[in-house]
Amino acid sequence: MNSSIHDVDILLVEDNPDDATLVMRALKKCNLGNNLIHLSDGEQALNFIFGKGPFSDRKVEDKPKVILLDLKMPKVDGLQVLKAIREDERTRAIPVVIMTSSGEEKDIVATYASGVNAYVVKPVGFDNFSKAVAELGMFWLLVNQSPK
Amino acid sequence: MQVLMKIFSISRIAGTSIAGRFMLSAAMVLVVTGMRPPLQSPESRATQVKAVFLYNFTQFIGWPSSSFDDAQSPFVIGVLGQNTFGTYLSEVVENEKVNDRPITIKYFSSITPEVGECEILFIDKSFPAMKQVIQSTHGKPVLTVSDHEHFTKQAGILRFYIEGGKLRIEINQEATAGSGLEVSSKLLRIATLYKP
Amino acid sequence: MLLRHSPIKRKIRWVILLTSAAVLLFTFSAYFVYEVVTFRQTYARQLSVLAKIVANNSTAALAFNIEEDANEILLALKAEKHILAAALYDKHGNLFTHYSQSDAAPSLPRHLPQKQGSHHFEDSNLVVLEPVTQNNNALGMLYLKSDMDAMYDRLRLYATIGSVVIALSFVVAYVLSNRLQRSISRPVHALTRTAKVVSEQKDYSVRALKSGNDEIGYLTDAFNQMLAEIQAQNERIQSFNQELELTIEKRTHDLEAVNKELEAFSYSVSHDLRAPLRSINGFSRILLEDHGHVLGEEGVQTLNTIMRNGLRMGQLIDDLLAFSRLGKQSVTRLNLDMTSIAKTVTEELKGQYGNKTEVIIKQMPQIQGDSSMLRQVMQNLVSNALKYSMKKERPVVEIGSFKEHGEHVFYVKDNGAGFNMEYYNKLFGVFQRLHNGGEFEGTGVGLALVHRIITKHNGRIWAEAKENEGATFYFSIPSTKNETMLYE
Repeated sequence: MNSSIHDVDILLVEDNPDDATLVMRALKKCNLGNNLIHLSDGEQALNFIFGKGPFSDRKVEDKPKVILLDLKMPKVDGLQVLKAIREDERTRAIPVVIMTSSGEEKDIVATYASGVNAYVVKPVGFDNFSKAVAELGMFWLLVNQSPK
Repeated sequence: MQVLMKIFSISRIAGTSIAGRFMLSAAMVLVVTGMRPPLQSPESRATQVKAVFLYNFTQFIGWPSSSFDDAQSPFVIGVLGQNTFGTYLSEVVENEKVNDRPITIKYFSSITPEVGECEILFIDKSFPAMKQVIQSTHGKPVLTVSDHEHFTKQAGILRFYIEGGKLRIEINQEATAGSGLEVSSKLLRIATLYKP
Repeated sequence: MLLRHSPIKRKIRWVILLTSAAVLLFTFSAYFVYEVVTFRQTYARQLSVLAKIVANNSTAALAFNIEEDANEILLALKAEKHILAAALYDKHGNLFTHYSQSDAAPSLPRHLPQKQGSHHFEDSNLVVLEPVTQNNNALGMLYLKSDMDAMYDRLRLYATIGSVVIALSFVVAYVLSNRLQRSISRPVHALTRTAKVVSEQKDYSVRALKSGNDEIGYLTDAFNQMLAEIQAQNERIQSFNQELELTIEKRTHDLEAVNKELEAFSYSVSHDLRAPLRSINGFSRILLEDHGHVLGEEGVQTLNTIMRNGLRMGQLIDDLLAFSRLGKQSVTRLNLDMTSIAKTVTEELKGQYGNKTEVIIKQMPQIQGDSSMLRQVMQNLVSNALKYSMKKERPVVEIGSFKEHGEHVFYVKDNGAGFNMEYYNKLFGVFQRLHNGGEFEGTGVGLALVHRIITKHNGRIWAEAKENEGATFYFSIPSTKNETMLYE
């Protein structure tokens, strides 16, 4: 959390600190890791996005440009976070990329039904992993500029 | 068989020729059926019928056993006076029997005691002493028969007479009283009963 | 027989009626015949008695030629209305006198034939000839002719009585049979009704009422006993069924629980096992990138080994998951063009194994099967073929099909490493490998997966191979009627 909570490019929600480290390293390599916030569970993510609890001084309108969301997390899981984002007018437009180690079909179907923008299965190999993360980050941050 | 024999016996009366026999047979048939034979006089035809009738009487009249001497005694038919039958009567009765008794014909010209022993006594109407004959046989089992017109009137039993060209019989029932003769009702039925 | 399909009630009634009618008819016929015979005899006797009387009366008339008397006697016969004619003949056989009932002169013989004391039947008339004798002396012959109307009258009367009696008997028999047949038909009817209820409503709790201890009563008992047996058996079967259902329900429940556990297991395997692997690989990579220069050559190689094995384990987990997922997947049958599938798969894989392999794809038919599963099969087999033939100088892979015993048989043939047929039985087992990982990489799940998919399609899979000469893998899919035949 080395950037301002008010001007966030990428919100990474990932409970596994190792995975988070790897993702952040991959993004940094592509110079995408400057305005990145990492939160380690769904509850924190919701507080952050909607400016509640420890993030009460944050405005909802200061939306992150893209949210990288891990599916399987303790307390509030990725799907619940996704649903909350899509149900609120103000956050509906935020691009959300689901990251998971599960290739199970039902997860895919469920996430797409909730309005996910992209989906990536975290590969075991680091090369593939960094490649995938970098591509996603680039796409959502640079190519697909979301309206302010 | 009997009928054939009768025809044969009658045929002998008229002669020996075959034609003659045939003629007689035909005549006999005609007599019985009541038709006139063209070639015979009524006189001789009546005589022949009388002969048959005499024989027929044996079957309609019963004689008491006392009129016969014994079991072998013949049945006697007597002819008194003129014999108008010739041999015809004997021809008719030949080989006939009355209750197993042979028939004998006897001819009498006058009244003899034998006359009273006859079973049937025919008295020709020309016989003069009619009354005497009747008296002598009265009370005896002798059937007196005659063709005399007043025979029954004089207490004779049976009288032949001609009526309608046919030979008929008249009977005087009273005359049989005491004679022991039993006259069949059948005979009485067909005969004319004499009523004084 | 007409009665075959009529109810028992009617059968019994007809049996009784017909039997009694037959007996009555037979009895009456016998009596009738007897009557005809005896009547003729009796009548002949009566007529000859009459003839004797008349003959006896006419002796004197014949003997003494008294026609009137004879006539009178014959006229007395007028009282006997059946006497058609009478005549007297003399002893020579000539007609003496005659009488006839009607004015029309009867055809009387003029001369009598020599028949004595006899009677005979002329047409429908009876003629009696009676000798007229007096004291055994033949006087002539009496001829009497009588019609048989008396007999016919009598027979007519008998016929009338007979008909009336038969008709009455019929009525009586009908009434009696109606009443008597009930004792037979009623229990039969009751039994039939019960049987009908049983067969139509499948109600085995009904019982037929027993009416007596005769055969029908026995039948009723046997029937009831059978019903009781069936009912008891039904109840037993039902209770068995219920038990069985409970058992199945419990088993299903257990299975579902196990399945859920298995699902949860595979989910956590895929998720939880892959995360640490990813970390091992990822951080090894970081170590290599950031600190590789201090590790030295040996250290770098060690790190590479760690990463390679991590990747391999990830692949193993993926394959294993795909294999177990297949177990619960159902086959969705669609028309599939095997030729185009083979082409696509080959295109995708060729790059992976270098382009030097010559791949021949023959024309193959359309079949019905699960698209993704059969694509997987084709992918695994083609990738195997490419993989094992890669080291040949001129690798050739052929994909084709033929039809055999109502099945489509597909084959993928290579001229690669092949395998020893001695180990054939290990070929399709999970994690079974006939080549070591150093020679050809692989997890040992691919053929097991293929085997599972083909089995799910009711097909068979087999292979032929010779070491260092190549292998041919065959799989068959049963042909269905509505698929399009592209070859034959």
